[in-house]
Amino acid sequence: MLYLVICNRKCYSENMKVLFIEWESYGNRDVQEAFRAEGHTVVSFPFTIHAKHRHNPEVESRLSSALHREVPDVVFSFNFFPVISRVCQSEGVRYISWVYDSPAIMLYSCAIVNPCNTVYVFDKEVYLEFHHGGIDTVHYMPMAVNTERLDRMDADGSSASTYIYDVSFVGSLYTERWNFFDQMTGLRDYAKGYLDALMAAQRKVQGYNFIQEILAPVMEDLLQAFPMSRNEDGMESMEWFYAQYLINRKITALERAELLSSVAGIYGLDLFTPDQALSIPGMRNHGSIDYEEEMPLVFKKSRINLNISLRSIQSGIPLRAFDIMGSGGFLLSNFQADFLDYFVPEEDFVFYESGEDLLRKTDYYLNHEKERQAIARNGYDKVAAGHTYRHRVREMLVV
Amino acid sequence: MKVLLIDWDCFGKEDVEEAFAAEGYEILLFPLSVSGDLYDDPDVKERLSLKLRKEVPEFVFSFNYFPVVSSVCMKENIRYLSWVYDSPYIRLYSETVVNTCNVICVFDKEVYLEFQRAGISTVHYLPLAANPERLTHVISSGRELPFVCGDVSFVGSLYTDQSSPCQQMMLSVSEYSRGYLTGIISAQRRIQGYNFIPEVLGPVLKDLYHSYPFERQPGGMESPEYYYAYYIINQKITSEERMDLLSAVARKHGLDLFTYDRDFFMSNTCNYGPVNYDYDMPLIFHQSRINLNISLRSIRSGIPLRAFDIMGSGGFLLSNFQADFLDFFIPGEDFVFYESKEDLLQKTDYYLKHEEERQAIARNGHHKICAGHTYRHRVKEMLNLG
Repeated sequence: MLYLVICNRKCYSENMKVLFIEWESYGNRDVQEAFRAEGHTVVSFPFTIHAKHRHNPEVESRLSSALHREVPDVVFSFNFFPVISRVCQSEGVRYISWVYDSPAIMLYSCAIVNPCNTVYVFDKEVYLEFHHGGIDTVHYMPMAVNTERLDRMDADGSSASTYIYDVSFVGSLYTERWNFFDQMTGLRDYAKGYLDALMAAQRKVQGYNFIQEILAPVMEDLLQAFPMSRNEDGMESMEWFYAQYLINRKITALERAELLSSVAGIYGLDLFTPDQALSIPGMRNHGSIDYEEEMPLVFKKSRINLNISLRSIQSGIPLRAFDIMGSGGFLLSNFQADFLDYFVPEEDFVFYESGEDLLRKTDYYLNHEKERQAIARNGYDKVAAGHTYRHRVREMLVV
Repeated sequence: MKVLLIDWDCFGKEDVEEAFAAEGYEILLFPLSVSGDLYDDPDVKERLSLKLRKEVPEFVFSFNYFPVVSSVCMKENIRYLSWVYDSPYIRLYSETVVNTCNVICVFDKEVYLEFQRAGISTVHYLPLAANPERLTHVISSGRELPFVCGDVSFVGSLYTDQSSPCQQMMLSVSEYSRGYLTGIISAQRRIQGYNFIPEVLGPVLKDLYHSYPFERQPGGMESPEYYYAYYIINQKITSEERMDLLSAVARKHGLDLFTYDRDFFMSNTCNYGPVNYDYDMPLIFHQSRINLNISLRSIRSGIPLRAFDIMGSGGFLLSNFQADFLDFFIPGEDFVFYESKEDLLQKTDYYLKHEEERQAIARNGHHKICAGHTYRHRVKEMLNLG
């Protein structure tokens, strides 16, 4: 009996030394705060997203030295870097990576199978893809938010009940340089038609992304219109690459533009997006805002916060949704299956199921303040109770 | 009590007559040629009016729906019960559909819901049926098929006609449109349970019209999208899907194929050409170990007649997903769903190896049909609706 009890209880590690790979990521401050609050020590290892991720002699030698010097229990990074994994593997140190990018091409690196890895992905469909492929270093863990920090931003209570926006959207419209689809040249008409059709069809379907599965008829055209050379260190298929980086991104661009325009036309919309020059009737474009200092305030001051997920995120709850709920904002989101693992629609947040449904629900929740505020409160309570960085850190460091 | 049956070249004629007679009705027949004008034919109108005034039946019944019959019934104030077994069926979009004399039964619940949401209360949901008594009689008649049935059978059209509207269209639209149509067909094939074709035709509608002009029926409300989607493109999807799935099954297990196009060749397949619906088909379903149903894509959620034919004949049914099955039948118990090509192959393999389990499922399906899905059951329901 006693033995069983001991075995069933998770053993959380104490006072671990974490070598934190610090690059220009979201959540740096929050996750370090969480490690420390849980009683662990954090030592920073400077890194940059602009460095080569796969083979990088400078990083390799610097990291080896750091590992010898600091002797950490674990190495941690947001996103997965093959070069870090390789060094950890040869030095015999556990490498925890928490991937918030979608798509995440590095997951397909050969380094993914290194036994030192514990790689967390927030998209259950991605986790299942690796799991079915027999790769057991990849695990499922949703994103998180630092409700303590967000609560501190509201310490004087000034944000309470002082809404200045009706409907807000914070996010990219993919009209700038990351829109690879529009950079394609010389596509023949047949291929243009085929791709337009795939995008029109995919927009009709939530919960299952089939783009990758039916790209074969136009692969040659894609390779010519936007040449990509095969990656030696990668297992990703060309279909995957074009589906995720070009087509799903373009679908998102079209979808966000259409849905946001339709809301803006009737209810107005406050847009917070990098592309300052974007101008759409009914929309006030506030340009880009700071993720840590300004964004949470937008969510608190908006009656309704929209989430229109990037289409490459198949089932995962986007970070944006946690940002919104953790700030106490009311979330109106497209369907993403993973929400149903932890949250109750109509209780903690609300789904819209189509363009028409989005308008109906925007109207309804603008006119039913108490109900809306109750839902926002429930969402916040659930996030604070189970989806903070401290919760995730505890999970990551289970022995 | 009299019922006037519109007598045309349809399925189920004898079966439904038998059912009405069992309810105590005297059956009168009114011959109608479906190659004529079914909207406004003065001769038909006159003949039918006279017949109705003379016989004064309690109602008129037809399989499928004919606007001209509805017009006359409306004028003569006689109820018109119709049971539509075709899908798609463009005459449902005739303006006559709202005539208060109508009781129109459709077997595709998505179609029923479309009309209900539009406020049209003359359209009702009524699944199709089988006549297990007659089927059993045919099966135990001692009649022998001129061939021996193998393991897996498919009865149905492959829509291979090269002069079909779809083939013509695909050849004469622009390159962009050809790519677009190929794309939506590929995408739709990945999805079961929801048909988005009519919703995504916008970019190519002009080109489709240019290539194959669509003429609305007299007094019709149907959209061009409806016509191109359900009559042409979904048929093309079905053609590709049936050929793809059947050839995969044939490669692994062999296939007995019963189809209009007797010249169609597929390896490892015996193509017996078209089959006699009344006398041979029940035997085929009964004797084949597995009977495949790959629904016409235009049927959105409905249980196709073929499925009732198979289960009614005591055959084991392996079918694509159609939502309406779940209203009445239990997957894995009365019949089996396949969810993809791979799943189809796996399940064919499994059920060929697990004979007792397969036979039990076929028996369950047959019992369910006898207990609630015969023409007698449906006729009773229709009379209640009327």
